[in-house]
Amino acid sequence: MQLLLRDKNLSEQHRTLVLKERCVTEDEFWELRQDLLRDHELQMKQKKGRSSVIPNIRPITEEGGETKINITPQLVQEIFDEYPRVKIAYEQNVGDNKPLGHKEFWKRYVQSRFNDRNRTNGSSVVNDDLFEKCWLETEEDINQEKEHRDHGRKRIKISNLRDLSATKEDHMEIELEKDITMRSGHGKILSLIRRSNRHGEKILEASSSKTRISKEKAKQNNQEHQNEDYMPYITIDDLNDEKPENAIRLEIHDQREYFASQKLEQGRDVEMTDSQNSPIDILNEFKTDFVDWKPNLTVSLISDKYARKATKKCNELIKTKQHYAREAIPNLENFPSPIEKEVHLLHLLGNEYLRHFWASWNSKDKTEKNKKMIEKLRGALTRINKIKKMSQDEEALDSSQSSQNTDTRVNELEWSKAITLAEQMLKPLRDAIEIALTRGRSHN
Amino acid sequence: MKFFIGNLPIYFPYDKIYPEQYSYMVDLKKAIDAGGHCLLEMPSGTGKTVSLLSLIVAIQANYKEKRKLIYCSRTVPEIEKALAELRNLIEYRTKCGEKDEYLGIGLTSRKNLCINSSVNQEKWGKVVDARCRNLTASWIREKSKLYSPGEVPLCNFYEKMENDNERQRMLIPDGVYTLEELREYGKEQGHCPYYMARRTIPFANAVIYSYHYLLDPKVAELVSKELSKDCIVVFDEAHNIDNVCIESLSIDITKPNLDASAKSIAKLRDVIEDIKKKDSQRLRDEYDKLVEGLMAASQERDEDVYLSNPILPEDLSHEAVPGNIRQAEHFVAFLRRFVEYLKTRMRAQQVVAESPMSFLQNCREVTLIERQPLRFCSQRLTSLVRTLELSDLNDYYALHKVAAFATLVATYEAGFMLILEPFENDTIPNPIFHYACLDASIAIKPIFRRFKTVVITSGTLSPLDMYPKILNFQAAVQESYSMTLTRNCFLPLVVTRGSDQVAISSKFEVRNDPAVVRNFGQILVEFSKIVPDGIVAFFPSYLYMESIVAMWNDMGILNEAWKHKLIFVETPDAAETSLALENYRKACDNGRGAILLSVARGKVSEGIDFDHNYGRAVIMFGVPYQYTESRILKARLEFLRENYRIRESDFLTFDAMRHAAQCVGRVLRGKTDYGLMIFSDKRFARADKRNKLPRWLNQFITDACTNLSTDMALVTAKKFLRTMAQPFERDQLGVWSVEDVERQERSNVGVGGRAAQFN
Repeated sequence: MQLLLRDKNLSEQHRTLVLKERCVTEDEFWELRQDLLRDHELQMKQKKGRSSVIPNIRPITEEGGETKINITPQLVQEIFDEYPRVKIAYEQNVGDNKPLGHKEFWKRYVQSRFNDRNRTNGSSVVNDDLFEKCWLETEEDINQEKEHRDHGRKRIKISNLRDLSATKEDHMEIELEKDITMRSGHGKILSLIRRSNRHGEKILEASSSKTRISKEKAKQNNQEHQNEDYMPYITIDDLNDEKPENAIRLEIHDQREYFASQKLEQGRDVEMTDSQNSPIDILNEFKTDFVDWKPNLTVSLISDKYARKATKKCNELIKTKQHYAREAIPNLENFPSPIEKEVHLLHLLGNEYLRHFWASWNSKDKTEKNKKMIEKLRGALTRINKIKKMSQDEEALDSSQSSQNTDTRVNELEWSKAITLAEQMLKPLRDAIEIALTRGRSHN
Repeated sequence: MKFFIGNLPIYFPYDKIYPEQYSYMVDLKKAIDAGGHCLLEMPSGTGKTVSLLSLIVAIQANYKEKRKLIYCSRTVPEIEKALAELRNLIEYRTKCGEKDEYLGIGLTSRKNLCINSSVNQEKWGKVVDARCRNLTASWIREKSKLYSPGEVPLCNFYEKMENDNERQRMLIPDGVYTLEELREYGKEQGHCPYYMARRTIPFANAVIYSYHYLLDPKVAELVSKELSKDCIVVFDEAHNIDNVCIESLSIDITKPNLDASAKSIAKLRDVIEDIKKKDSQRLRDEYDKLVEGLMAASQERDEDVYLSNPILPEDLSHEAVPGNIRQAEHFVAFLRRFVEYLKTRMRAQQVVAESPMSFLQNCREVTLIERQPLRFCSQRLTSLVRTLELSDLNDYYALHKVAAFATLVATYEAGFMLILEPFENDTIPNPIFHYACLDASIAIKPIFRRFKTVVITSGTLSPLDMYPKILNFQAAVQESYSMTLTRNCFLPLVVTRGSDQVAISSKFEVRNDPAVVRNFGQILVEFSKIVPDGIVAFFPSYLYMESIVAMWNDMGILNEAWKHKLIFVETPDAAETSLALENYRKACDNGRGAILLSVARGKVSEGIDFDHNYGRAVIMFGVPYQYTESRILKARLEFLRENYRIRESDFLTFDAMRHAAQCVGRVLRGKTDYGLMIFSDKRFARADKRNKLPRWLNQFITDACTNLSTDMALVTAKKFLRTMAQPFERDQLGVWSVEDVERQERSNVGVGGRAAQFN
C-alpha cells in the first residue's frame, strides 16, 4: 500500500470511496486499478545502481568548526568493492582476538587517506604502515592484472572491429622509437589511469551482473555457430527505404456505409454524395456551367442600405457572442463549499460505479456484480436529483456544527444560482448513468 | 539500386544514395578511364568505402581487361570492415542477378591469422612468425621426410594445404572472405589461412591489406611483387600516407640491438664452422649461386615481371654480390667489423646529425669498409640464413635490422639523414641511431610508376595541393566534396577561453598552468552534464594527457566528472585499451554514459568509429602538433623547405589540423547521426588553422561559434542537442533515389559529360 502513500490523489479517492462512503469494497477498488499496482511494483523492483563516483570519505563541517566523517555500512561496502586489499586488511585485523576494533580501523583508514592526499604538498605526517601497505598492494594488483589478462583468458570478447592489438601485430617490420611525447609515463600516473579504467569496468560489471550470466550463455551459443555480425557496423540506415510499419488492416465489410456514417456523425445533416458520379463528371458539369459565365462587375446587386444593415447585425451578433463567452465562465470563487463537496463526491461515486458497471458488463461470471452496480447507479441518480432540493438551511446546520463560521452563508439568489450550476456540472454524469441504466434494463 | 554512369551499370547496395557519393563515383570513374591517379576528399561517415567499391566492382565486371583491385587501408579493423562491405556488395549483385565470379580476400600477419593452437598462443607477432617458419620452412619439411613421422614437428594445416594444393589448383572457392571467415574456412578445411591468402593473391579479384604490404619494401617483396600493371590501387584513409612511407624506409638501431647482433654473429660463425666440417658443398653451392644469381634477377626486372624494389635501385641489380663477402666466413667477419664500428659511434656524447655520404666516408676511413659490399648486406644475410638452414629466426632479428640499415645507408644519398641521439630526454643515456627517411616520395615512387591508377582518398586531405607536393605525383582528378545537409547534424564549436575568460591553449608555455588545466577540466565536467551517452576527448600527446589527468585528479575534477559519467583512458598498451574501449561502449549502451580520454595520434584516433550514441561530442584539448623538438622532425621540415618549398609552420599546422579533423570526424556516420565537435584552444580561432580543415567541416564553422567561452559554448550546445533529439522527416536528409540519379546523369550528359558540382 505504499502506492497510497505516494499518490495523494489516489489515497484521497480511496479514503472517500472505500472508507468513508463504503460504496465499494477494498478488493473492488483495486481490481480496477491493477495497472497502477503493476507499475508501482515494477518501479519498486528497479534498484538504483551504484553511483559512478569512486567511494570517498567526505567530511561534514559542523557548527562549531569541527569536522565529522560518517562511515555508513554502504560506504564500507563500496570501499571494500573498490579496494579489495582494504577488505583483506579489515578481515585480518578486526574482530575478536585481533589487534584492532572496528572504530579504530576506520579511524586509521581516514587518517591514512588524508595523508595520502596531502603527501604531494610535502607534509611530513607519519604514514600508517597498515594502510600504506594496502595502497602499495592495490597499485601492484592493478598493474599486475594486465599481465594476468595477457596470459590467461580474456574476460571480455573484443570485437574484431575494435581490436587494436591486431593492427599492432599486423606489420612488425617497422619498429621506430616513438618520440618522447608519445611514450607512456611513469608508474604513478599509469596506475591512476588503470585504476580509472578498472573502476569503470567494476561499476559496469556490478550493474549488469545479473543479466550477464544469461546473456553470456546466449552469446557463447551464438559464437559457436556463427561469426560476429558486421552488418550493423557497416550499413548506413539513412540510405535504406523505411520499411512500412507493421499495421493490422482494419476490416470493414461495407466501406461505403462506413464512410457515410462517419460523415453523418460529423455534421448530422450532411447529404450523402452520389458516388455514382465520378469526380471527373462533376468537374465537367461544373465546367459547362461556368464556361459561358461572364461576370458583370459594374452592376451592384444590392443597395448599400441593406448591406450596411446586414454588416451591423453581424457585428452585433459577434459582439454579444463574445460577451456571452466571457460571461459564461462560471465564477467559482464564491461557490458554496457544501455544494462543491457534494458535486465532487457524486462525480467520484458515479464514475467509480460506472467503471465497475462497464467492467462487469457482458461478462458471465459477474452478472451478480453487474446487478449490484445497477442498484448503486440508481442510488447515485436519485442523489443527483436530490441536489436540486438541497436547501441551505440543512447544510448550514452541518457547516455551523463543523466549522462554526457564518461566512459561508450566502443569500438565496446566489445559492439557487449555484444549484443550477451544479446541475449543469453533473449533467454529463447523469446522462452517462441514464444510458448505462437503460442498457442494463434492456440487457436484463 | 541500379543506375548508370555513362554506360556503366552500377549496383549500389542501398535504396538511396547521397549526392556526394554519386559525384564521388563520377569523378573516380573519370580518373580510372583517364588512367591517371586521383586524390579525393570525401566527408567522413558518408559511405566512402561503399561508393568506391561499388564503382570499382562495376568496372571490373564490365570492362574487358579484368583489372585487379588492391585496396589498402590503415588498420586491421578497417580492413575487416572493408571486406565485410565488399562481401555485402557482391551478395547484393548476386541477388540482382549478376553472376560475378568474384574472389576477394584480406591479408594480415600470421599472428592474426594463425589457427595452429601450438603457435597462435604466443603473445608477440615476431615469435609467431619465427615459430611458424620453424614448422613450415622448406628445409624443415625436407628433413622430416628423412625421419619417422612425428619426430620433426610440422604444421598440420600447412601440410594439408600443400597436399590439397597439388591435387586441385584453386584453394578457395569464389566469394569474399573477411579475415574471420578466412580463419573459419581454414579450420573447416584444415588449411593454413595465412598461406592460403598469400597463395591466392595472384588469382583474387580484390585484395585488401594494410599500406605496409605495398609500401614497405621488406614486406612488399614477399607478398606484392607479382601484381600486374593494370591493377587499381586504392589507399583509403590515406591522410597519413606520407608518414607510412617515411616509416617504411626508416630504421632505428639501439644499443641492445647491437649487442644482440654481436651475439648472433658469434653464433653464425659457430654454425659456419660446423657446416664446413660436415657439408662444405652447401657453402660452395651458395657461392656459385651468388655469382650468377643477381644476373637472373636483373633479367626478370627487365622483363617487367616484378614490382621494382626501392631498396635495390635498378643500377644495383646489374651488379653481382661483391667478391669480398661471397664467402660465408668473410661475410660474417665483415658484419662483425661493421657492428663494432656502430658500437664505437654510439659512444659519442653529443648529438650527431650527418648525411649518409659522410657516414660512409667516416666508415671507410675507420674500418676500410667500402660502400659496395654494404649495399648487399641485407641480401647476403638472407641468402646465408637460407643456406645454413637456420631456424629460430627471431634470434637473428636484430642482425637483420643492422643489415637492412647497412643496405639503406649505402643505397640512398638524398632524402635521408642519420641522427645519433646519445641521451633520451637529454639526461638518461640510451643511445639511438636513427636512419631517418625525410622524403615520403621515395617509398611510394615505384607504386605511382608501376600502376596506372592510384586512388588516394580520405575524409581529410585538405589542403589538397599538399599531397601531390610531398608525394611527388600528378593527380588527374583532385576533388573535395562538401556535405549536403538539410539539417546541420554536427556543430563545430571553437572554445577559446574558460568561463573566467582566461585564454586556453596547449601552447608549451601555458599548458601546465593550473588556470588552463582547470578550464580544460571544467569543459569536460560541464559537457559531461549536458551531453547524453558518450564523450570522446583527444589530447595532443600521451605525455600531456598523463600530466593533465594527474592534475585533474589532484584538483578533484575527475571526481566531479565521475558523478555524471564513467571515465576510461587510453594507455599505450593495445590490449588494455581495447578492453577500456569495449567497456566504454558498454557504458554508452546501458545509459550510464562514459568519457573516453585518448590521444590524437594514438591508436584510438585511427579507425575507431564513435558513431551515434558512442560519441555525441568530441572534445579536442589543444592543437595536436607534433613534438617540435624532435630532431627527426626538424630535419624533415628543413628538407621539405629546401626541396618542395613548403614552409615549416605550414607543414606543422597542416599536420596538426589533419589529425584534429580526423579525430572529430569520427563522430559521424550517416546523416541521421549527430554530434558536437568542440575545439578547445584559442589557436583554433585563427584563420590559418581553420583554412586547413577539410571543406565539409569548414563550411559549418560559423563566425558566431569561433570565439566562445565555456559557458557560451554550453548554451549553444544545449540548444543544438535539444534540436537534434527531435524526430526528423526522412525527406530532410538529402538523399537521392534512382530517379534523381538518372535525372542528374542526363543533365551531366547534357553539359558534355561534365561532373556535377555540389557546392
